[in-house]
Amino acid sequence: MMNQTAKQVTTLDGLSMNQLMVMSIGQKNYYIAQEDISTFESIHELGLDKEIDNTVGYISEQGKKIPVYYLSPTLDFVTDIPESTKICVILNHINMALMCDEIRVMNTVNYKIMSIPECMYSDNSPLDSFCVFKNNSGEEVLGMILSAHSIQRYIEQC
Amino acid sequence: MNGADAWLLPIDSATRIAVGRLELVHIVESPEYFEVPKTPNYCTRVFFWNGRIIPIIDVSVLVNKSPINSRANIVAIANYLNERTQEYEYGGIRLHDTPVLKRILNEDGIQPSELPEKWKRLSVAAFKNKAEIVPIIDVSEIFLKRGLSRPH
Repeated sequence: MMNQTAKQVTTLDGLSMNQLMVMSIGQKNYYIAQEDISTFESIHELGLDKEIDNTVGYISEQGKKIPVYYLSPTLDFVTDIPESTKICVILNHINMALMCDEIRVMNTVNYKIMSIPECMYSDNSPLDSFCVFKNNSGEEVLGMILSAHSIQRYIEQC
Repeated sequence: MNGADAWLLPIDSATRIAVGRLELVHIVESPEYFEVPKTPNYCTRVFFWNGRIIPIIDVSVLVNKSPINSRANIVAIANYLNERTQEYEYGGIRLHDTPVLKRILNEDGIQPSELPEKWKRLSVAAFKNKAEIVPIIDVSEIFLKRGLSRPH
């Protein structure tokens, strides 16, 4: 088990929020605040009972069963985990976890957080907001941020 | 003979919509899109413009349920007032072809009630352009209202 300590940073536009983590799912990256992550577990800790709809199994944590979900690169629920997916991210604030291929700290704190435009809003989405940053080539990149609460809302909706 | 200028925006091979002359602020050809999953089917892409994220609405999908069948990759950037924040914001409208500026005479105006049902909730007014009826789009409505594709 790897405990994460949230690190406070200030973004380009002066907003203060926790360091973002990059979750890779297939070829896609999604971003999540470090503060929204409790711990990581290996896939080997995954219990295979699928008592709850759309789950891929559960993780036992302090005597509690935490349901584990896998979202595809296009954020659809999938109940078969691809071989590349080996990390279970246990989310803070909510009793849920997500599988991903890889998770790491974002290598820049120079990003802007932007809201999702109203016309793109959907009840049926786990997206929380966008982040905009420059990649190593200096090109602007759009990142999509998930949050524990937006994931919880999405899971409960489905 | 009083009137006003409006941009006619082709949203497919047979349909044009209009926005006021000052509502269209820029035309972009072949912007680099980012696909955003789990968004309404009429607004699935954004691009960067002047440090902003511009959502792109495909009005053809919104009203006809079918995407623009065109190789043209043109986006009209429109501005609108967000009354809640009192700030001007920007949104993109995907086009089938380049827009045309036209003088609309008062006598060409028709009541929005004469519009086909699918246009009524998106339009502030309409006019006749020979045999064509052109809805004048409520730009803030399409960019600020959630869930427009749901039936009312």
